[in-house]
Amino acid sequence: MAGRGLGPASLEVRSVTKRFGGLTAVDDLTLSIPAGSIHSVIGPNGAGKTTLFNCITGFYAPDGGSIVLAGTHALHNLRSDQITRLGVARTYQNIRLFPQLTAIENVLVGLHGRLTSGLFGILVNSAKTRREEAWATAEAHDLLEYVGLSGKGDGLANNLPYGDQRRLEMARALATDPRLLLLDEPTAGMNTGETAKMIDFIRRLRDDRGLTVLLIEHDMKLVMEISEGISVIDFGQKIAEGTPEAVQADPRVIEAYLGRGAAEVLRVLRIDRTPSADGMDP
Amino acid sequence: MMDQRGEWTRSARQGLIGGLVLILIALIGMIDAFTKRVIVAGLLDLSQATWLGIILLTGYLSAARSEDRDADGGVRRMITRGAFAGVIVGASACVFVAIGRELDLSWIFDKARPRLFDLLALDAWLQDVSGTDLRPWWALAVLSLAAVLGALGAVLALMPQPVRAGIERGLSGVIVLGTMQDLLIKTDWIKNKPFVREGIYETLFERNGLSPLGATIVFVFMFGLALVWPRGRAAYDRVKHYRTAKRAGRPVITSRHVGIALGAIFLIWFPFGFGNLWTDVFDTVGIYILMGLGLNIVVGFAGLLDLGYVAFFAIGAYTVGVLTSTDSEAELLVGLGFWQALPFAILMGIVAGVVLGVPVLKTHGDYLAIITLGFGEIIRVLAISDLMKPIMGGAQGVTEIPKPYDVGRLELPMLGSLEPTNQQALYYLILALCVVAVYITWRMRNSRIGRAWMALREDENVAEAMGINLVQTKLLAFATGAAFASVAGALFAVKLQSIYPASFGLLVSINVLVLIIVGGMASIPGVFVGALALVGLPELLREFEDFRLLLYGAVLVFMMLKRPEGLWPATIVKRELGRDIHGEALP
Repeated sequence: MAGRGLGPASLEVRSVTKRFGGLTAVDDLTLSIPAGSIHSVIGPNGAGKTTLFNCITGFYAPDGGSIVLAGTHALHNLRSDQITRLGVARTYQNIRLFPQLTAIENVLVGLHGRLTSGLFGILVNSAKTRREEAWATAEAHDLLEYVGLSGKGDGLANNLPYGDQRRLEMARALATDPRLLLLDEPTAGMNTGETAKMIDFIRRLRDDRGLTVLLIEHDMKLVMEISEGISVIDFGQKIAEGTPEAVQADPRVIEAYLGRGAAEVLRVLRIDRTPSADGMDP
Repeated sequence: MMDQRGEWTRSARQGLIGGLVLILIALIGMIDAFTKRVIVAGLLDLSQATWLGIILLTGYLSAARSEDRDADGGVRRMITRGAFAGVIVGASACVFVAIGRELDLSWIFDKARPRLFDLLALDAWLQDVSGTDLRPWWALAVLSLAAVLGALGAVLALMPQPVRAGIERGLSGVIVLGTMQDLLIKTDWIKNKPFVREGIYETLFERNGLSPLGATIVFVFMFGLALVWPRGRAAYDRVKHYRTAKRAGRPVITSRHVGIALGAIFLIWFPFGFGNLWTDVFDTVGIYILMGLGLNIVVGFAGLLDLGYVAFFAIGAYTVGVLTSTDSEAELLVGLGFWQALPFAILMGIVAGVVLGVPVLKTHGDYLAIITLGFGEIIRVLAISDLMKPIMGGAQGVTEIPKPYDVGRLELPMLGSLEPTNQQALYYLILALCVVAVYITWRMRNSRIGRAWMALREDENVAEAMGINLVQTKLLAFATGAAFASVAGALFAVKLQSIYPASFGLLVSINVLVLIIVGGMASIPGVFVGALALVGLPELLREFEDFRLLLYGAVLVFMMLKRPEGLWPATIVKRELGRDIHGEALP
């Protein structure tokens, strides 16, 4: 019932390929994310970032390559419920809560894999089931409090304001007790103040909960501030990787975002090292 | 400033709709059929109540939808417009009657006989009420009556909410008791207890319908009741469950517990008090409740639209039928008792649920509905086929299914000895199984399994990403639903003692689906309300039987437009749709 206490997990993505008909969305992609780090995947729209997330979490079966969690668990042949139980959780680019369930029920669904009551125990309401339900309810309340939603557990998820829905999605992901958390554009639609809070929150999350965090993000300020490593992908391929400083200076990255020759222009104009989020993402 | 012209046009339109509805239900024969139900002796029968009720409702709606209320002189205008809408309904009826009396329409509409037009012109009624022969001026009389009633409807809409709710309750109380009179007198409780018969029944009722005094008493009683007990207070609260679970404490007795206890006492006393006719109807309702609870798990909780649900009902019925039949001419004679056969029926149901479930695991929505529809038909066709004839009896079905019990005399401490009839014993059997089914549903809903079902309904992919095993969860929903339906089928078989393929058509699946939609998706009390309203009422009021499908259609359209959450929704849905306990929309 309690957390598995295994600490953050590393992730190895080796030569993963995913095709949709003639389109190769992820093309022979290799990533290595050390345990306990905050790593970002960036790239223009349609570069294959979300497809990569879907491969890692089992929404899509990759056409080739392997994905290994913590050096031991091969994920690429598993269903997404099995992957979740190994300690991978995610949030979604366009929020996908269970809209007609209450906030607390959303979190309780996240706890599903950590509860073990069987059909018989549930029907006779055994002592174990009662204990487990009490624990789950308390845990769900704690998680809501942790993400700053205490007292909002009884409303339908659908009726929560946008920012609260993002938080609730985080709480639901945390409920699965992950070792690796995938965040797909956690600050989409947020203003500068909210984004700053989110940066603090992601750091705190990593430190408190012992997580590895893998981010997809378009907000370059956030990416550069928070990431310990960045991978840039374009047309499904990795085109650059390294620390924020190294990636920012890489001409291939600038080309991918702004087009061929842009790096040259920027250097001439001496507008290097300050790419803004607005310029990069329409 | 209000758009006055728009308001008048709207009222005219409402009046026309009211008139068309009236003409429609007259042409299909409802008005005619309803004359047999007297509501208040010498004053009102059900056909007249329908006729006048439509005008009242039209007046009510014309005012209730108006935004004129706060404007200067708005109230007076609204009442005038109510009268106007009423007159339009009346005028439509008058035109229809005039045409019908001049031309013979009966070769197109076979109900359009002179008697119908006399009813619509309210000839007999106006004479009874006024004491004079108004027939020469019938049109004038109808129109002035319509104006008065339309205005009254508008006044009703203008009244404060509690008064309005009281009047609504009072009127429905009078109508319900009046229509149910001949059923009430058939109940043992009233027939055999002189105190009840002479003291209460004969005060309220005359030979045919409520007495005027009785109608007044019922109205006042219901009015008072509405003031002290607003609608929807007792609804179950899923949210509260989790809130109270956190702070564990001593259990507290609430009004809900008292309500449940009273309900339980009533249900146990019921077959002794109400007699065989009612018990028989409740048996049927109970069988539908069992099916409704099962389908509610599949459709309401897990969101898997199953249109072939009757298949599991048939499987349960045939398993018990074949295993227990004592028909010596049957080729297969097993001769088990009901209790030995029931586990097989449940097992067969579960197996069938899984067999259906496995191939449809990857399908959703429309596709799933079509596949399950086919599955339902396969079972029925198998039952009627030559292939299965040696076992299932083909079109002749399975007969001579014995009753499940042989109750002798029961010696009960304190209550003395009881000798339940077969009818009563069957009732208790169904009641007990319903209680078990409710308990199972309730336990499962508030557990990790129930939450997994609901997550599945909301978003299958995300549910899987929460660590929910889709295969197990879906199959468990299908299997549980199928088990409930096969128990219902087993009860159906021993209730009728013979079963035929014709009893297991698509209509059964649709009935069950409609009853959970009308009652309220994913709501356990909703299944009871839905089964009582859609199965119980047509059984009790036989003249409605012909119009059953029409009523289903009308009720469904109305529910989808006006109360998509159902009659007794899961509380959470009700709260979130912004209704307070009076059923009014919150600002």
